[in-house]
Amino acid sequence: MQIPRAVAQAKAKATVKSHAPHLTFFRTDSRLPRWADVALGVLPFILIVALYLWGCWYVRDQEAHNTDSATASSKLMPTPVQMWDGFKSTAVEPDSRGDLRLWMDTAASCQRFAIGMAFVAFGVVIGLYMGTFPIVESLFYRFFVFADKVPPLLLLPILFIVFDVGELSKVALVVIGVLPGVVLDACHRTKEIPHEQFYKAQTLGASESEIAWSVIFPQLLPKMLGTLRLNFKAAWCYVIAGESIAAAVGIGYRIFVLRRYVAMDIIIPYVIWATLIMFLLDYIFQWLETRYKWVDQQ
Amino acid sequence: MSEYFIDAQKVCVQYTEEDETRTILNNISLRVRRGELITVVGPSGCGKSTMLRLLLGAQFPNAGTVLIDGNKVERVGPDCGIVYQGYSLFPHLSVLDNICFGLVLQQTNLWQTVSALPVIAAEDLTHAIAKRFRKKNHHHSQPLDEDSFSKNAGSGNAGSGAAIAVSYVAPKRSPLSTALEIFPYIRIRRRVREEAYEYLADIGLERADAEKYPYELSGGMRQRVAIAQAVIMKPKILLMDEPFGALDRTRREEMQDFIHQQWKKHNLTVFFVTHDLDEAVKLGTRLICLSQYWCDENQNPGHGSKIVVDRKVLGGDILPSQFGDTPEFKALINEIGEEGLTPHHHQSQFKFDLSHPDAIKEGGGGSCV
Repeated sequence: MQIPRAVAQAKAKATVKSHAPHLTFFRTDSRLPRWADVALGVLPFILIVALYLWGCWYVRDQEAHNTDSATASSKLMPTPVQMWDGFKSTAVEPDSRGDLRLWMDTAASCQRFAIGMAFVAFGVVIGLYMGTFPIVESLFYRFFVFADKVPPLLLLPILFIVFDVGELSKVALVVIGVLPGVVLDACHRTKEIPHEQFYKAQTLGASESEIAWSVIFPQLLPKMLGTLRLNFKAAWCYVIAGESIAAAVGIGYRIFVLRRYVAMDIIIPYVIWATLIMFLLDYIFQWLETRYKWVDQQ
Repeated sequence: MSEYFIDAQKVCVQYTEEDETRTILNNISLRVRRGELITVVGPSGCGKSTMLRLLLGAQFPNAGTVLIDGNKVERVGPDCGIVYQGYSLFPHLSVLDNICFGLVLQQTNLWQTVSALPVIAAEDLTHAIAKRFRKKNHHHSQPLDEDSFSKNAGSGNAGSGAAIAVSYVAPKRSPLSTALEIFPYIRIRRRVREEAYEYLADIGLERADAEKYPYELSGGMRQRVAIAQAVIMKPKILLMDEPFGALDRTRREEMQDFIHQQWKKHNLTVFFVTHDLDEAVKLGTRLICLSQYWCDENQNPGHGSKIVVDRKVLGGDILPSQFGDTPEFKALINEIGEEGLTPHHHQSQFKFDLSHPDAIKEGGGGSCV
């Protein structure tokens, strides 16, 4: 039986329609346009801010209509204007000693973080030698596996006893907390480099140490940027934790002092500020990683 | 001193895994004269690459000796050049830096290398930042000005009138770039790079390829660079472990011609391991065929690889295509197949009346000169 032309055309149209792309956002191979990518990225931030603003309004509304149950709710949720004022009071208005607290605290915390991470970066060299020379691996591998499992915050009282409450104890906390993981990762990543490259380098006249520094280290470096980046958060946490227990200056110290006065209008800007510092550092390291295009192409 | 450049005598290689000993090479003897291009074929697992590693010094025999130029091979060193199917190039270095790698190492010491690492990293970072602000259509693989090169047509090798010799003229450097030359490593690397630029044309690469990374090159180009990287160091012997295994037929043929040309030009001694019989026949001055299975003189099956054929396949400059077409040889290869010779094969099956009287065919033998 011959199908009427109109029916055939309708069927063909329906077939075409059924193959038309739809909801491509949920395809595994979908490529979002730039605007959609940016919009989706910003959306969670907008939602959180909107939720917070609604909370501020709700708390104040409740307080206004229910004066009997006066609470400190409005103090717990300062408005953006209050937070901006709080931020300004620490960033541009000198305190009773004439210090700009925000910058002083930031400088102190960042200094501890930077010194700690500088020591941690030395772990890349230890890992490099462990991955390259079996004798170094035999010497250190089990030790670092064990050290990696030590909960660093439990060592904090010991560090304060041994090193006193000065800078050394806080830097030591960062190093003890992060270094073993970095060393082990560097060791494993060194071992990922094909041994054929070592032979190749040796045929080109490289000594063992030259292989380590001319062949392995440059290949290890971009990968370790990622490892260090992922450890920033842990290191930052250890700095804040150390400061919160014993310090005279620092972001962690300030937040824990302000907690006594429920000064949320300053605490929240401090938290956002501490997060922004790490976000910026993370962004810089991510950019550095993307510079090494050959890493993903191997 | 031995008249043979490579002299391996009664070499045995065994692996022990979980109380089981497996013989890979059984009593192999091999002698190679300087300037020969030896091709080695055989089925997978027959010990071709093991032979190559023995010559490289990356592995040692359980019995027997391996001498190169009269010296016992005790470790991997600059006597050998090596080209692998993969991993032949350092991925973090540009084409030119890969080629120069050995020469720079020769002229610098460890301290100079390590002290220059932060400078190189900073220099790279500066380039990266500058590149970010450059115009979109400015390709990053063109770091040099057009004026950096002067092309002189017709001044190439004698007999190749169409050849273009590309000579390099150093580009103008920024004051910062010049200042960095206080580091000996940077200074030496720049000088070597300038010298090595001329070598690019020799291996058929364009100047734009110089600053590319290996991942940006095709398989054939990578192997050209890998061969150049090894050959520039003038090794006593060039070892090649299935170097063209990942290439398609066209590229493979191009590369076969290329290695043949390099072999003749630099008078290299080459030990070329391959799966491809046609390739082995086309390239080799001698072809060695390894088999996992063989029979001794009393027709008892043996274990471990043996050299079952060692043929002189090339005379003078003539490529030995006619040898590859001989029915006897085809018959042998058919017999060997993918599995290798089976123990029940009688050695008499492999006695050939080939045109070269010095051909050796031993069912259980492995002694080849």
